Amino acid sequence: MTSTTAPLLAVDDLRVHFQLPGTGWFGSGKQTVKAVDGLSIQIERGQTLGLVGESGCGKSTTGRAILRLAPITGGTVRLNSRDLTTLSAAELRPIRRQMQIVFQDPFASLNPRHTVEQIVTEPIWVHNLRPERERVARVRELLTLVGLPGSAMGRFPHEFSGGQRQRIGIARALAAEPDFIVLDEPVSALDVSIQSQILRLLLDLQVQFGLTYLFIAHDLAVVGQMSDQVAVMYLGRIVETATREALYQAPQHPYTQALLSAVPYPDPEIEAKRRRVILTGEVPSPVNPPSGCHFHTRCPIAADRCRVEAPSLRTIGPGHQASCHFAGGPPPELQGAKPGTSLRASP
Amino acid sequence: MTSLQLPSDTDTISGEASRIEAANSPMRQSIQRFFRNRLAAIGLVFVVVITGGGLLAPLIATTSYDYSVLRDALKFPPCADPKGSLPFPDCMFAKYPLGTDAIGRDFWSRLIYGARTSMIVGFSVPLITLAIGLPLGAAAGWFGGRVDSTVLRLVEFMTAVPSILLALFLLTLFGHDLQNVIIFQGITGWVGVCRLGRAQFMTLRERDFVTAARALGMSEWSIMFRHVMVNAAGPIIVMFTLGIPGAIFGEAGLSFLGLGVNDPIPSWGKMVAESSRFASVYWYLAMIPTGCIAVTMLAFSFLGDGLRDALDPQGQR
Ligand SMILES: Nc1ncnc2c1ncn2[C@@H]1O[C@H](COP(=O)(O)OP(=O)(O)O)[C@@H](O)[C@H]1O
Ligand code: SF4
Ligand SMILES: [Mg+2]
Repeated sequence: MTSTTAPLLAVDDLRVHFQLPGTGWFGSGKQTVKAVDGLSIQIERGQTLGLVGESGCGKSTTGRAILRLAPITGGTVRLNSRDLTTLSAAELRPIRRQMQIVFQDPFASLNPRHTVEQIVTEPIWVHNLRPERERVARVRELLTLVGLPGSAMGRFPHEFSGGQRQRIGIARALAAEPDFIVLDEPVSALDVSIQSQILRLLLDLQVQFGLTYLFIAHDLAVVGQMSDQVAVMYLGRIVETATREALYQAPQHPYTQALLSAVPYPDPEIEAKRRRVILTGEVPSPVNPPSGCHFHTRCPIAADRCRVEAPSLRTIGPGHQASCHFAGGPPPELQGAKPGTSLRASP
Repeated sequence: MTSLQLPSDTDTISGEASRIEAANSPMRQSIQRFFRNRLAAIGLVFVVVITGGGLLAPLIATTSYDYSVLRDALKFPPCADPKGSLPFPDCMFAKYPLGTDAIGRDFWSRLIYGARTSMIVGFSVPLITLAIGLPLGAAAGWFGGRVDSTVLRLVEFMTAVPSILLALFLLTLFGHDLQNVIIFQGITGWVGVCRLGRAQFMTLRERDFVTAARALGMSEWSIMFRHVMVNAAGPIIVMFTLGIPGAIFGEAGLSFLGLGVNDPIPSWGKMVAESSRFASVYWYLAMIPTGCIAVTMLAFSFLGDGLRDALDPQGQR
């Protein structure tokens, strides 16, 4: 992780704020949704960063902002050391080929009126990647890569299952020959049996083409299979980031511990001893985030200090950062509780 | 059963997918669904007949619509003539198959030319509403923000003023003839198309396949034509078709009130008005054009409803 070269993707202090239309007369009472609010991540070439958080915490917005598909309020996004946030649409065009996206909903992500061939040819056509006469062969090759027969070419999306459509979406992303792909919950909408097939396909393609992934998920269950580094997100911010091993074995932030306690364990004996931390209460609105630590309204070990003072993202180990006043050791005023250790029974 | 033999994926949807016959384009499916709907198919037949009648009016009509023989005024149709003894088949080839109107013009010829008037109005008015409403609605939905609120303001204004009243006002102000009936119905009737276009473009703008096209760096214009228009086309075609009976009825109503098509051009609405004075004896003179209006409107409505069901993307699953 301590490579001397710059990471493929470096996001620094990213902010995406949406202005909601005013509720009052004359547009007064305008509210701001801080969907992403000071988020920093880095992904090394050929690696996968898992981005995890509950629904509505700003994961998709983060992915889209990185690809300049959501309006960026502040911060920088560097791909190959080049800041994308200042580029004009025209300057961005050639760079768009290098970064692609795979969506969660396999039914909404493909144009129902286009054939598979039209869908997969589009990136080749837009970026003029192959001579005209080689394009059909290239589409066939891409379909084979994602495990679809060439006979799929003339068919329409509605003729395929969810998993097959997701493969078409992956083929479309690959057609641009990208370096970096945002995988926005690519298996969340699929049956469990299909999920592992798609995940394996994504891993194979990553090795084959040296792809770099931002893998978005709403729980820690699948992220473990996919990621080298994991970042946990809450209300538009990273609350903990660590290597996969560190995060699963020694989660420091109470939120990470809660998410982790919800993941079933394959070993039934350990599974029986697993302690669940149930998060109570609703996810607070990103329009009016709580004072101090954003998590204090739901944190099982919140102290008075948490309500007023916002914790910063502190380094507590190599490549391991957490944003909790008590991360890295037991809190002085809470001798009994052990927030610094895993709530999961030790495996 | 030509089915896709796909590896690995074995979920239930793929089972359904493999049952679908080959070359099942959304278009072909829509056509199949349309013709499964009996009423819609009948509507289509009537629409073709009436439109064909209007187009071929000079060939079908026995004389000109404005050729008046005062001596022959208010003649009964040969079949219905109490004094006449002509058997049915000869009726068709009689000089006045449906008799004459109050100033001795052939009623059959006027009826056929009336179909032509109805078709001209029926197709032109929705075209104008489309030409005004669609770009406005599309821009509002696509760009949002200030463009949207400006268009919405305009739509609110148009909704607040009843469009028939506005059309009546404009027609009295600028005079009434066929051209003005079309133009004023068009410029007062675009609100529905505008709303539809806005809704379509607004939702399609956020669809993932549009985002995917953006992620590719495709230009906004290409996205609009390649991805948005093809998906918005169905509802817009339906809106157009369902706008036709409204325009026909609007023209008939305006003509009935004496603010429609200028003389001597025949219009079904005007023929009803002209005939109503003689309704106690020449009852069919008012009945026949009324029936024509009703049948035409029904045919286009059935056609439109059938198209809506056939083009409904939900039905594609
Ligand atoms: N275009 C938008 N306008 C206003 N609010 C938005 C917009 N897009 C997302 N949001 C808000 O931003 C927050 C984060 O959304 P999202 O990134 O989709 O979350 P996630 O992908 O983690 O479920 C949500 O509260 C959502 O309502
Ligand atoms: S700072 Fe306080 S409220 Fe926030 S996570 Fe840590 S203990 Fe909980
Ligand atoms: Mg999301």
